[in-house]
Amino acid sequence: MLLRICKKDDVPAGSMKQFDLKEREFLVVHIGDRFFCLDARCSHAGAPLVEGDLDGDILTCPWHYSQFMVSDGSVVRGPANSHLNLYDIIVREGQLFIEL
Amino acid sequence: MPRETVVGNGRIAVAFDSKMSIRDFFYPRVGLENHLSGHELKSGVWVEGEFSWLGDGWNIETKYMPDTLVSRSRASNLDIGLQIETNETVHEGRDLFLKKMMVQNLAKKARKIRIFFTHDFHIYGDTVGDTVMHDPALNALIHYKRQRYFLVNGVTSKGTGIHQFATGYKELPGREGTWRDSEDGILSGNPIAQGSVDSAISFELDLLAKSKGIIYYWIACGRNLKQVEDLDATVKQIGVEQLLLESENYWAAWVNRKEINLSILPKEVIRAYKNSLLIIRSHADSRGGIIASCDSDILQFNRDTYSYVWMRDGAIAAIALDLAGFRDTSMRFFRFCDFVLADEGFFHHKYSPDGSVGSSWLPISGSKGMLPIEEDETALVLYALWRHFQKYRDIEFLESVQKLILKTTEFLLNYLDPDTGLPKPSFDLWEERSGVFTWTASTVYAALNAAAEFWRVFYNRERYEALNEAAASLKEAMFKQLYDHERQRFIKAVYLDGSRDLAVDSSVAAIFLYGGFDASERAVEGTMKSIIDKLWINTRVGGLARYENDEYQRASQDVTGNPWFICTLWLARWHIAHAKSFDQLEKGLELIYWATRHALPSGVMAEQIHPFTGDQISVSPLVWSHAEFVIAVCEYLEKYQELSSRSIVDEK
Repeated sequence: MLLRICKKDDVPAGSMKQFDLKEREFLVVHIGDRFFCLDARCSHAGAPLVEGDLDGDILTCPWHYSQFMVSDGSVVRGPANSHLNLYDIIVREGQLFIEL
Repeated sequence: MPRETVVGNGRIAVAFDSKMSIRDFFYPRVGLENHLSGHELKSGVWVEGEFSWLGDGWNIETKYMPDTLVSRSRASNLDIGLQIETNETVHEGRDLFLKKMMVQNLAKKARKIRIFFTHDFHIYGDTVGDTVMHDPALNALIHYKRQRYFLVNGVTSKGTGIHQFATGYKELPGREGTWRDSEDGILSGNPIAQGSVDSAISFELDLLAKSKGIIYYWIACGRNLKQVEDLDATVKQIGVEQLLLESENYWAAWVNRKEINLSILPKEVIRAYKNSLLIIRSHADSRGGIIASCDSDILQFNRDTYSYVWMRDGAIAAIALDLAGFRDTSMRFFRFCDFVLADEGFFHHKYSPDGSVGSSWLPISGSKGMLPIEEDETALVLYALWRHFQKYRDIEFLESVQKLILKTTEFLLNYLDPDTGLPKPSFDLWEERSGVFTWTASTVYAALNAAAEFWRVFYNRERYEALNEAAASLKEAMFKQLYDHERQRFIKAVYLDGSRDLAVDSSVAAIFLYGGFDASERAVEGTMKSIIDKLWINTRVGGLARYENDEYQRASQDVTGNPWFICTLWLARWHIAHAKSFDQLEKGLELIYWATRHALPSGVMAEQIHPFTGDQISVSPLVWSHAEFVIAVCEYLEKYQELSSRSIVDEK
């Protein structure tokens, strides 16, 4: 299923934004000229990752400082021990879609 | 000193200042029994023979962990080479105050570090007859008096408990307090003291160079020894780390109800919106009362506080909670209102969270049948209840608060002056003057309309029509007597001697806030323009003053008054209500941003701010400020949706 998330311009480069769709929460991260879509909650304790720090490709959780690699959702540093789901993102006519 | 954060669970509320000290500790009700009574529970460190209280000399920043009522403070002191991070909360389901303190040794050598916590409890608010004792079996300190017990305990991440303790005397000649005993790094070990007492405990960490250690600390609250002992055992079994996680998840689940799609809002506004809801919730007692503020520093001015339930503030908080989808808290508030309502159908000035009538400075004059009340408080509760029902249509709940509807309606009708058609005089929302105020009349108009709607639901046509007619007559009387045709604006008030108060007052915005007049009517536009002209503060800080030459906590004679959050947000609400395009709507969002920018880093909004520095003035947080913020955001989102739908229709 293809879901429209937002316009490209809604997430400026170097920023991230949370979107709630179909009772799920997604985090769209814009790094350089690429967009990534991940789970919006930390896999450790459910913190809202949109409130975390984005430093290059590394996203730090705002609650317990777990770190994740944005490009593949992998854990860089605990306490989280499971990765974030990464969703395929499609850019079409200035709009972002994810494949679910 | 403003409160940086407030944490609570509906039975306990704990507030912190900028020194990371606990300044208010309420139990067993939010707002009732502040066991510190203006004093504090503070922390200090001892390292290499030097002692330092957290506060002066430390660089401290306090915020909430996002989406939670768990505070996070970071303190660093490079002179002594320490960095401290704390998380503090009240467990949502158990009467436990919890603290996790992570201490980082910044030095390039191993060091022994002692952390001190002092406890200057004034149980039930005074110093008479307290006891504090050490329980060797638990290695804990217990402060108690009658039915209030506070058990203090802790453990390091290495499993070591309290290192040293002391109990002793305070506020007596030659007895400054046991906290002084901390400053040499050693506590006396005195096991018990009675009367005017306090205590201190310490933990010892052996930290390698550039390493961290953790202290877990808790205060169990109960009505007897067994309750606090049981809670202490629970913490030891589950662990503070897990209990903190439970609180974090509870509040994140609470605040993320997804009733409203926030994604079109800027991140800062979403954060402030959620913080506002959480801060309002921290001021809501489990029995329904919502106190105006837990900040007791105002004690210094008049020996009284804002820790009461004002029905005005509570009703506006209930409107905010309902709009945002938090009906449980608002329903408890309405039940509280139903419980405390006077037989005559009005609300007194203010209430304690146990439902008793609060202290008051409203004199009984008897003149023109005037009661010592602020009539808008009664009107706003009825209006808020209608707004609640309009959204949730919970007819069975309505049935449970029927007395509230029947009696307040009767009262409001009977309190109309047959000669003028306006409400009889009462005290104003600012609690300064008595008379007939545009604010009050607007809220009574809204309440009569709400009452009419209730009777429509109850299918009593006759009553519905009578109430509708009463509301229409009141509106006519307002326009006739409170609108100044020459100045093309509504005036603030008519006083008992017939004089008219022409000072521009932001509360006149009530004419559109409560539905009396449309935001785009000429009379409203003229009124709001006069408010902007006279009350906008033309400094770097900006914001809207309350009224012309406002002396309450006035910070400067160079401007007409201090900017207030609530008044500035009323202006935001007018821009939103008035907007016919996205450009016009932006003006509302700019003022919502203004409130976000002038809140503390934790998101706390005071009553007012300094017109030149932006520092928080008067009580902080003020629930009303947060409630107006939530209402403004909800109205913005609604209008955005409306304009979006309109533009789709236009395109088609």
